[in-house]
Amino acid sequence: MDYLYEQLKLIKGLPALRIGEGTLPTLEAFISGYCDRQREIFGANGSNIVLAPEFQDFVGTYYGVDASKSGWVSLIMNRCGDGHAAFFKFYELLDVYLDNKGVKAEKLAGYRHVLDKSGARDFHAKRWSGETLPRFDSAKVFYGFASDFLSDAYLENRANAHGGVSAALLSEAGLSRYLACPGVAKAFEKLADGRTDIVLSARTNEAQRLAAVGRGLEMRSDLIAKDALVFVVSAENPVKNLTMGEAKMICSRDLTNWREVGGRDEPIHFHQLEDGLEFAVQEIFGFVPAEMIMREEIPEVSSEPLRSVVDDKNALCCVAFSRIARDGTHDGTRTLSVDGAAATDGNVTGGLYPLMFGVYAVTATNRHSDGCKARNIREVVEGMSCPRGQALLKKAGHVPLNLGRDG
Amino acid sequence: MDYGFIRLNEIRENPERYLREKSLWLLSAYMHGYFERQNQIDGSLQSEVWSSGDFQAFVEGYYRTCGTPLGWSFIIERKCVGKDAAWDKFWELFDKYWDVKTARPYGAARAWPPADNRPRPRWARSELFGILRDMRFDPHYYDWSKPFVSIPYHIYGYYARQQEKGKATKADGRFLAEFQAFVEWRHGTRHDGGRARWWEIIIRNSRDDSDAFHEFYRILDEYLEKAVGAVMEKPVRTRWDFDDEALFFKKEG
Repeated sequence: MDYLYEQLKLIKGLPALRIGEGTLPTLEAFISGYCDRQREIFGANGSNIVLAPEFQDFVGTYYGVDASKSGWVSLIMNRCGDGHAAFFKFYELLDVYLDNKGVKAEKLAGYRHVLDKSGARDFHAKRWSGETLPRFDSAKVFYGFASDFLSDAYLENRANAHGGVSAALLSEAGLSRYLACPGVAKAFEKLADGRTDIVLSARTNEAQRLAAVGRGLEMRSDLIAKDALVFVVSAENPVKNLTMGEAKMICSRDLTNWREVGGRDEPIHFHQLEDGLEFAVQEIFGFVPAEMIMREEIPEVSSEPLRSVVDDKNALCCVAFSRIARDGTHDGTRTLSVDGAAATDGNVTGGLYPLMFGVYAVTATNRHSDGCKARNIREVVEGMSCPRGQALLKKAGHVPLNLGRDG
Repeated sequence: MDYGFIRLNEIRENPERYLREKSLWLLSAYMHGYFERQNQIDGSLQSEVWSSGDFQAFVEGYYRTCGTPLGWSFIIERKCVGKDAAWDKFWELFDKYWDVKTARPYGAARAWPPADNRPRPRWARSELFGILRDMRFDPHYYDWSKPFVSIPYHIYGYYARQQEKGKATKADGRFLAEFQAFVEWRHGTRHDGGRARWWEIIIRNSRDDSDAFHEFYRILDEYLEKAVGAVMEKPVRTRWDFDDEALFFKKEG
C-alpha cells in the first residue's frame, strides 16, 4: 500500500487543514518530511508513486524537457508560475499518470503517445463551435495574442495581411462576443460574476484572489508566456539608462524630475500605461499605481501611447515589450536600458533584461458545475501552452516559455 | 534525545538542505509530513517536540490569542514583518517553549504551606489568574476541544511574553513557583524527587482529560482561597474577543 499516496489524496481534499495551504512548495515540504522519516527508519524511500523515477520522467515528457535536471516540482512550478496553480497541476498530472500506468513500460515514447491521445492536450485537433467556446477577456496589452489565438482555433487561420485578426473579422464570424477588452479590473469582475471564462492578464494580486475567495471561487493562474516592461522616451532625451531603483521611483511618482536620473532639469511626464500593465508593475515592483485601478474606458488597440512621446521630449511612456517587438518604435523615440540591459529581443528572451513579468490565463476553477464547460476551458488554457499556442504568443511579441512538448 | 528535536535542530542549522526557502509554512508542512510517517509506523501522534499541540498553545499564550483554528506558523507570520523575521521569531519562541518543556522542578522553588501564610493584598495578585479564569470559561477548553495540557503551555507562553516586555510581576513568578509546591503538597508528592511538574501530577491523578481539567481548577480554587484569599468568578467577556482582532490588524516591528 502506498501510504504517501493515501496522504496526498487526503491533502487534495483539505489542503489548508492538512498542510496549511494548497501550494506545491508546501506539499513538497510535506512529502520531504514524510520521506526523510521513512528513510531514517527503513533506509529507503519505499514504493511511493510520486518518488518513482517513472513519475519524474512522465512530468518531464509532459513538458518536453529532461526532468532529471530539475525535478518535477521545479518543472511544474516554473511552468505554472504560481504555487496554487502548480498544486492543482500536480494533482492533474498525477491523475493522468495513474490512469495510464498500464503503458508505463513504453517509457517516454509511451507517455508521449498517451498524452497526444488525451483530450486535455489535444486542443488544436478539436472542432470548436459557438456552444463550446469559452469566453475571453483580455487586458489590452495581450489583445493581439488573444485575437490571433481565436483566429487560429476558431476561424481556421483566416488572419489578415498583418498576421492579426481585426475586430471586424471576429465580428463578421459572430465571434466578437467571445473576446472582449473591457479593462483588466472589469475583466476580473466579469470572471467573478461568471460573465467570462478566461482572463489574459499579468499576475493577479492578492486583493483579487481574496475577492474571488469571498465569492466562493478559487482563482487559478496558468503562466503561458513572459513579457517585459519597457520605458520609451523621446530620441532627444539625453537619459540612456535607469537603475531598477530609479525605475521603481518613477513608477511610484517618487521621482519626478529628469535631473535626478542624469537628464535635464525638466519634469518627467509619465504617460499612462497600457491597460494590463498595472499588474505587471505590481509583479515587478510590488505596488500598483493608484490611477491605473480607477481607469474605466479602454480604447481600441492603438499606438497612441508611443505617439505621445514623439511630441513631448520630457515624456516617459511605459509599454509592453511585445508592442515594441510587434510594431517597432516610432521615429523620434527610443527605449531606455535598465541596469545596463537594453530592451532588445536577445536580452528579453535571454532573461538579461530585468523588468520581466508573466502572462497568465486566469480562470475560476470551481465556477462551472457543468463538467463539459470546465473541461473546455481547461483545454483552451492547455492549448495556449502547447507548441502551436506558444508560436502564436511569439508571433504576438511575447516571450514563449520554451517548455512545450516539442521544445 | 527526541527524534523530532534532532531534526528541527538540523533544519535550524541548515534550512536550505530541507526546505525550498526559509518559511514557517514550509517548516510546518515538513514537520507534519515527518511526524505523519512516524504515526503511520507506530501510531504515535507526535514526538515530544510537538506533542498534543503544546507548542501551539505556547504560541497562542505568547500572542494572547485563543480559540483560533490557525496554526502557529500563521500566527507568527501574521505577527512579524517579513518571512525572515518570522523565521527568527519561531526559533526564539521554540527555545523558550523547549525550556518549559524540558525544565524539571527538582523540588519546588517554594515550600507549601509558606512561612508567611496570610492572604496577600489585592495588588500582589498575579495577572495569570485572570487568564486562567478566561480559560476556565472558554468553550474551547471546557468542551474539551483543547487538551488540558495546553493550559499550562498557554500560561507559560504568556509569562514568557511578559518577561520579555519586562512586565512580568513578582506575583506572577511567585504564583508559578508556589502553585507547583501547592500541587505537590495537595497530592502528597513532595518527596518523590520533585521531578514531575504540576500539570503532570494532575494528569497522573486524573482519569482523563476532562477530569484533569476539573481537578486543576479545583486545586486552583483551593490555592486561591488559601494563598490569596480570592474566589474565581465568571468573566463578563473573555479576553480573546479582543485579541483575535489584534492578531489580524497589529504587526510587531
